[in-house]
Formats: sequence, C-alpha cells, structure tokens
Amino acid sequence: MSAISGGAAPVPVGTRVGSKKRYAAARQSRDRFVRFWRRLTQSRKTFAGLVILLIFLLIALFGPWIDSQSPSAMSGAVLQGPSTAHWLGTTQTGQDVAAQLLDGTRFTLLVSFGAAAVATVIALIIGIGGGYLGGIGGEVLSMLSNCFLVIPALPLVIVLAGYLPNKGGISLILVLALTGWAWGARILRAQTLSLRRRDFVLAARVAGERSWRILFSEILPHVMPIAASGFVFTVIFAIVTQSSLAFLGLGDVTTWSWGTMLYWAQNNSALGLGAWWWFVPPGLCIGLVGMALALINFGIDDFVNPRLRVTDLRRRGRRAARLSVAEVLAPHASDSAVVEAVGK
Amino acid sequence: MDNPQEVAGPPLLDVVNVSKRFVVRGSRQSVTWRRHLTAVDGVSFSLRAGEITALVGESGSGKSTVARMLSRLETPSGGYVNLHGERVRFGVPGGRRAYLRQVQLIFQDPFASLNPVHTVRYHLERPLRVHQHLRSQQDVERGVAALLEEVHLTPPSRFIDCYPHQLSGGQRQRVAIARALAVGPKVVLADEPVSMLDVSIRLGVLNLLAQLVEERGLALMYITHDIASARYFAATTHVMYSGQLIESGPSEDVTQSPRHPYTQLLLESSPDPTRSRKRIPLSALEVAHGNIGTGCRFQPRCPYAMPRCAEEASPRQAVGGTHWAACWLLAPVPADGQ
Repeated sequence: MSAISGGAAPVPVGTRVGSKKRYAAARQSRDRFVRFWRRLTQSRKTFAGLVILLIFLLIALFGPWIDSQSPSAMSGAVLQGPSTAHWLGTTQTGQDVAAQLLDGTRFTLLVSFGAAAVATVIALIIGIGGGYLGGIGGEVLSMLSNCFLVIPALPLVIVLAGYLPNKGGISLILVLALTGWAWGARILRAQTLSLRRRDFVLAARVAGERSWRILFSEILPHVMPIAASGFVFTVIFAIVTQSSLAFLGLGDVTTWSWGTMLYWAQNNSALGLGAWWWFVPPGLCIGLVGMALALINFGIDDFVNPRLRVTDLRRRGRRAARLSVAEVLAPHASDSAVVEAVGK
Repeated sequence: MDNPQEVAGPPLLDVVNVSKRFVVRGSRQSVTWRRHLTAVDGVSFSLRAGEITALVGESGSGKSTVARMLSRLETPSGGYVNLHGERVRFGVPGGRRAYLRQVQLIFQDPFASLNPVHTVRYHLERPLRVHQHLRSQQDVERGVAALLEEVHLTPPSRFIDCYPHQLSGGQRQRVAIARALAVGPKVVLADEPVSMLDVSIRLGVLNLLAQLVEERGLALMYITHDIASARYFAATTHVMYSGQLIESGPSEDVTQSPRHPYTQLLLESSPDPTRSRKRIPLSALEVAHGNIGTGCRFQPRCPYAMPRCAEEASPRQAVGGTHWAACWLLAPVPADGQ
C-alpha cells in the first residue's frame, strides 16, 4: 500500500537507498528514471501517445530522406490516386502529396513545439512570479493573464498574422505564443499561491534563501508536471491554430505545412474532384498528433493527480482490485487542494 | 534547586511589547470597513543563553504568531526586538539575513517543512553555504555530516542522500533541527516541535533539544500546548491566552502553584494520574469569541469573574520572585475593595 499512499511525489515502492554511499547517487538517479519511465508507460494510453508522437518526430527529422521528391515540383501526372510512384497521389498541378506531407510535418511541428515552449516560459514567469510575489505586482500580472484569457484567440491571431510583414516561422511562433500563454499562467499562479504558504517554502525563507532561489529550487519542481501538461495542451492549440491560419490563407502559402496543404486542396476544390488523398492525410496527421498529445497528457495527469491512478491498480492485480474505492481515495485527502487549484 | 533567573546572564533576545494585527480575510478589499484581528497583543519576554523558555497556550492563543514574528515570517504591527541588548533593525540591507543567522525556527510539522524533492544533503548544505560561507564541496560535506551526528542521525552516510519520504517523523524532525543549527544560531524558536510526532519518540527529540541547549549554549523558546511538558523541559514558563501573556515565572512555580484562573484550568485539563480530578465549570470550557474591549480577555470564561474584570484588564501582579499573573484576584487588598 505504500506506493498508493505515496502522494503526489513521483516516488517509491519501498526502495532503500543510501546504504552504500558511493553508488547511491548514481543508482538513485537511475532508479528514478526507471520509475519515471515505468509510470509513464504502464498506461497503454500514454504509451500509445508516446509511440505516435515519436513516429511524427522521426518523420519531421528525416522526412526529406524518406521521400526525395521535391514537394513543390510539378509534373504531368495530375490528380492521380496513390500509387508506387506517388505514395499519396498527386495534386492538381502534379505535385507529390507524400513529399508535401513529409516536408510539412517538419514545419508544423517546429512551429507548434516552438510556440508551446515560448508560451510555457511566459506562463511560468508570469504565473509563478505573480503567484509568489503577491501584492500589487501579483495583481497586475494576474490581471494581464486574465485579459489575454478573455481575448478570443483566433481573431487576434488572424489580425496579428495579417499585419505581420514577415510571415515566416519565427513570427508565427511569437504570435501563437502570445495568444497561448495565459491559460497556463492562470493555472500555475493558482498552484503557486497554494505552494508559497507551505512550510517548506517558509522554512527556506527562514534559512535565508533569496526569492529567486526559492522560486527555482523550492517551487518550480512542484509545478513542473502542471507546466508539462500545459506545454502539451499548448502544442495542440498551436497546431490547430496554425493550421486554421494557413487554411484561411493568412500564413505563408509557399511554405509547406499541413495547413497550407489543406489551403491548396480547398482552393482547388479537391473535395469536389473526389481527390481524397489530397486533404485526408494532412487532416489525419493533425488529428493523430493531437490525439497522441492528449494521450500523453493522461499520463502527466496521473503524476499530478494520484486519484486518477486507476491503471496502477489494474496492473497490481486482484489484491488491489478488492480495495474499496473509499480506501484508495482516502489517503489522498490532502491532495484535494492540488486538484482544486488545477480546477481553477 | 537554584532559581535559574538568578544565575542566568543578561537576556540574549528581548521581546518588547510585540503585537500583530491581521486584516480579517474578506474585508481586505473594503476601504471603509476593514476588520482586524489582534492575534498578539503587547507581548514582552526575554530569552537567555543556555535556558529553555516555554510559551504555553491553547490553539489560537497567538503563540505560533509570536514564533513567526520572531523568525520574520510575519512583520510585527508594533513593538520591537532587542538582540544582544541592541534593537534589531530590519530595514538595513542584509539586516534580515544577519538576524536569521542568530535566530532560527523549527517548524511544527516535519512532514511539511522539508521539501519532498530535495535530499537531506540539500536541506543542510544550503544554510551552510548561505550563512557559514562554506565553498568547497569537502567543507560542506564535513559540515553536513557533523550536523547529522549532532542530531544523532548516525552514521551520517545512511541519511545524507535520503529523501524526506524515506525517513520517519522523528528522523525528519531531527533533520529540521539540524537545518536550524546549520546557520549557527544563538536563539532557536521551536514551534511545537514534538506535537506531530509519535508519543514514543517525543521524549527523544525533547532530550536532544535539551542537550543542544546545554552544549551550544542556545536560548531555546519551546512553544507548546502541553503544560506538563513545559514543566519537565523548561526553566521558565509563560502562559499565553488570546494574544496576551497572563502568567509567567519559573516553570515549577507556574505549574505547581498556578495563580491565574486560566493556568489553573489548563493544568486541570492536562491528565495527571496522581491528582484527584476537580470538576471544571462547564462555562470555562467554552471558548469565547468576539471583541472583549478593554476588559480581561479571559473574563467571559472565568469562574471568578468580577464586575471589574469586564472594565479593565489587570496589570501584572507579582506573586513572589519572578512569578507574576495578570488577574485582579491577586491584587493587593485595598485596591480590591473599591
């Protein structure tokens, strides 16, 4: 039962560490990684999500080597269905859909992960900073994130993207980050507000630590799962928003991404022509990556909220299954604060 | 037994007339109607090197707020603190750190006061680096090991790389004590250091604290709601009620011949097999809330309440030696007859 009552910290099933000093540190970090990996993969959902995402990352990295055709090169083979020469058929101008898809994966993932990374950093700074500082500074930061929360994201993105002189990847990343950070900041602020009054934070203050040290060393590790979950959601947001932009023709239509493929397919009425191989693959890719990230988020959710660790019990067999729900949930009464904070 | 007040030197930490008023939650936003709660009201006492002073009171009496103010987690609303006879100034740069180098706090709950993501080593080496300015890894390592030995977590190698969840409650509290000691303080404030621990290990932790007081010459403030342990542990006992000190003196006197009705009630309610149980009037068990005004704060619960008690609170009435209590019952007879 010790593992179940282990609380929110991603830790142990009775491992005794520290008896042999020399190897303790190395073994401990290895043990932690193994435990982390087990926890991450013991849920089939999370594992499936990781596999799908890994495939897409490999495609993004090595795409051009898989299919050496140029995505923009036109040919006489117009609007042909999938064949050995053109795995996913061709477009109305004879361009290879597979090559476009492989090339577009790189740009799409680069922009969405980049935007999510920037947005998460902004969310961490404004959320944790505002939550820890409190007072007028905290209120101002909180108001700022509330303002960005109520601004409808897509119209703002359209306006911003429409006026940008440069429509390349970097500016797209910045636009998406600017519209996507507020949600995460709000959650991180709520969690920080609950953490800053905890005894271990107060104890660090009494020990004479400076504020930035307390933020990075005492508070940040406790909000990392939430930040990770926020990152994953922001990636989904960025993929969908970026594709919507491109679909509306507001992006750079000469750069290949899943969105621009859908844009050209729509412009050339692929649906009317019955060229399903043109618009189904990019749409499917958006859906698959979104699903993979959502599945991974279930795994992160397990870290944050032990109440959801149902798969844990299933794996542990009948003995655990006989436990009543109340028995399983009772040890985590103290975690309700976390759940509520996340709920906000 | 000698009276410890007489042999002890000058006070190390002098707390003078310290108060704390909190704005009541929910009324903070209101400009015109802010309600305040006075958690601590004009508390004065002093701590001496090598001496344990107990601060006893029920929950809500403000004793933890006193500890938080003295460790600068809260800013006092009034009063001041003298350290080594000099008034402490927190406004100056580095003043807070310099003060915390002398005064440290041990938290009540060792399950909450250690960060679950850090090892014992991290918890102990941070204050060593910040306050003792140890730089080299070897020095820090030696310092951490010495601290662990000092709190009887031996051998240190068994504990140094442990995470808090791998330790028992008593071991965690020892780590928390070691962290307070790492700074090299002169004054240690222990906020109910054993109340979260299993009964069987409380004595061990208390004895450790007593030993540290003796070896390091610390001035220890022992905050507790358990007046019986104050008698066992502390030379001087202060009794706190509703934010004020109401009785104080050598622990033996305060616990064996309590003079304030509240202290008597407190002792009655603590279990003692050798004492026949007196009945406590029921009215005295009800905790009174609300504004008492200028009168004695215990008056609504007091079985001996007089009209005078509602009008003004009694000043300190000396009852022999350093023992005093704030109750009109102890006032000299002429004043009583008015």
